[in-house]
Amino acid sequence: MIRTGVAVLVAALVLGWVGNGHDGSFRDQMVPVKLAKNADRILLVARHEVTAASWQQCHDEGGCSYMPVVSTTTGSFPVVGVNWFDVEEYLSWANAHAGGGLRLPTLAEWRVIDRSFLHKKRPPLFMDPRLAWAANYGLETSPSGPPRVGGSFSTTPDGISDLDGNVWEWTSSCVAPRFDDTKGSRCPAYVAAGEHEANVPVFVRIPASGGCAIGTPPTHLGFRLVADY
Amino acid sequence: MTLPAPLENIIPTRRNFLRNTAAITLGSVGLTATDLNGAMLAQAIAATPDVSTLTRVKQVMVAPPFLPEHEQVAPGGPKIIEVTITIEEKKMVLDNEGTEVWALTFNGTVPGPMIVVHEGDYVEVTLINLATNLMEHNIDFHASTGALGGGALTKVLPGEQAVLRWKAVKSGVFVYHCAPGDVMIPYHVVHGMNGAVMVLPRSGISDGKGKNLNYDLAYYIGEQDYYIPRDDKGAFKKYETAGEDLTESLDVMRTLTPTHVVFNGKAGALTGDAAMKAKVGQTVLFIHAQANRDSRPHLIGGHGDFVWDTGSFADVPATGLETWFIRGGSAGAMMYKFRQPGVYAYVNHNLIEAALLGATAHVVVDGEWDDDLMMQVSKPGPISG
Repeated sequence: MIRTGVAVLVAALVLGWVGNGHDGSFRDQMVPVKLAKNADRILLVARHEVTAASWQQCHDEGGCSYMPVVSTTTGSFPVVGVNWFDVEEYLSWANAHAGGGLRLPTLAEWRVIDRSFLHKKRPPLFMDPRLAWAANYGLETSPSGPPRVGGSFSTTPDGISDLDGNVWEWTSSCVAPRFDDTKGSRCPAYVAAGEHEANVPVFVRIPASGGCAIGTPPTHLGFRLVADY
Repeated sequence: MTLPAPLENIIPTRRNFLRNTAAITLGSVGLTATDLNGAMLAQAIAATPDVSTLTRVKQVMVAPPFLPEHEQVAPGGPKIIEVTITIEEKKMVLDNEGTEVWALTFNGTVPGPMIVVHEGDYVEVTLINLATNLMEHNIDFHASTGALGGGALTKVLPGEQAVLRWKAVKSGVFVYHCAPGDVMIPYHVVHGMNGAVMVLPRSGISDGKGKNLNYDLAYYIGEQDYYIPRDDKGAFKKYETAGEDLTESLDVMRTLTPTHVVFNGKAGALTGDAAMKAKVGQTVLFIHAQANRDSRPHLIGGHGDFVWDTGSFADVPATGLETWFIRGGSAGAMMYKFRQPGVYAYVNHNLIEAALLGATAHVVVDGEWDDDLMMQVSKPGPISG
């Protein structure tokens, strides 16, 4: 186990060093996004979601134990059907390649990255606070269809594509407001961001297509990398 | 045929109907009643009037989940209800992922449109098979009597039409479906070719104990099981024409394991903007039809006040149910008065089918929240004590 890990790490470092010309040059695919108007906090954000091709490579190299069913690993189709643990494996593998620093955005960061979109906001269905549990019903939309090649949806002025697409992106923000991973508890669900924000349990790879008792499920689950500048 | 004025006047409610003991002449049915009661009514329905003299009414078909315009209590004597159903083979998307089926449809929808008549009425169906279609079709009405439910008399090739008239002698909700023979029977049914008929008692629906049950709204939920073939990679296959999937579909059908179980033809067809709507205080009749496979409807957050799960309005309804049972090949009805606003999920309570295969609909109900029925005593927070 350790030997395999070391082998993967060594292979990754060598590949990273010689510059393998595929998805390994993670940071080259990122563009800077200002996190606050009058501050110099800059976040590097991948233009596209992580692709099925990159995931296949991670799987081939032993970094990603799970390989989702994908229609193609050519071109820049996003990988979908991956849960929180799968994504953690990918991050370890990608960071071994890139020398660290790659991570998921927080929900707050995602909202800034996404800020140029005017998501259609309709008034809540119910105003009575006792009906808060039902107030957002029907206001959430989920673009349907199979995953499309990167760039098929909108691109922000910063150059970030597909935030309004049919792939929801895992963020690193736990749905539990008081969650603190230093206390030995695990987060049960993270927010996946997209056309709306969805609470997705860490085990889920494919959100229920039939819908939930309330609310609209994300169409597909994927993710995007960011790095601190 | 028009009924004489006295009968018109007493027919509106069953209660009035039962109270009335006046001598009545039942129009062209030719019966004289000294005491109008259920037995008398049954006799009137069983009578054989001169059909050529009956009033003809065209019923305008509407797409599910809605019902055509109708009276709950029959205004007058038996009529001939004329309906036209046009068969259309068309490609439909049945889920969010874009999975396709070459649906075989009555009137272009899955399920086909609901027909509403009263017991003793005649249904005269013009069944049209469009010339652009590729297959032979027919229609078998479970509410009808004889010739395989009319299936043997309505076989129409593309470019043909047939007219069938049948008498509604049983009250209740019933399935109709295409039954062209052999393997094509289940094939057509699981490609969407089914619908429902509601035959109301002439005096309206009752609780079987003398009380009339009226509804403010009615919705018609057709549950459809689909068996979509997959390719080597596990992705759902797409086909160029209707019928091209026959061999592969039959293989999936033989597993008896549907790939999709949906309401109104498509996962999510009765959710979001298309969710059913009601108001607190309104009584809603839900008619659930499943032409092929068992189902168990459940209204999450509500109940079935009155349930005719076998579908017969001649039977006394069950009351206050949590979940009811729809036998494959039948329709059932449930009546509920909404008491609380919010969102209700109307599901097939095999929850795998509800959440994974698509059998979920929603009802959005407007009105005032009732704290007596439910209240959140404390919001979720840290565990105390």
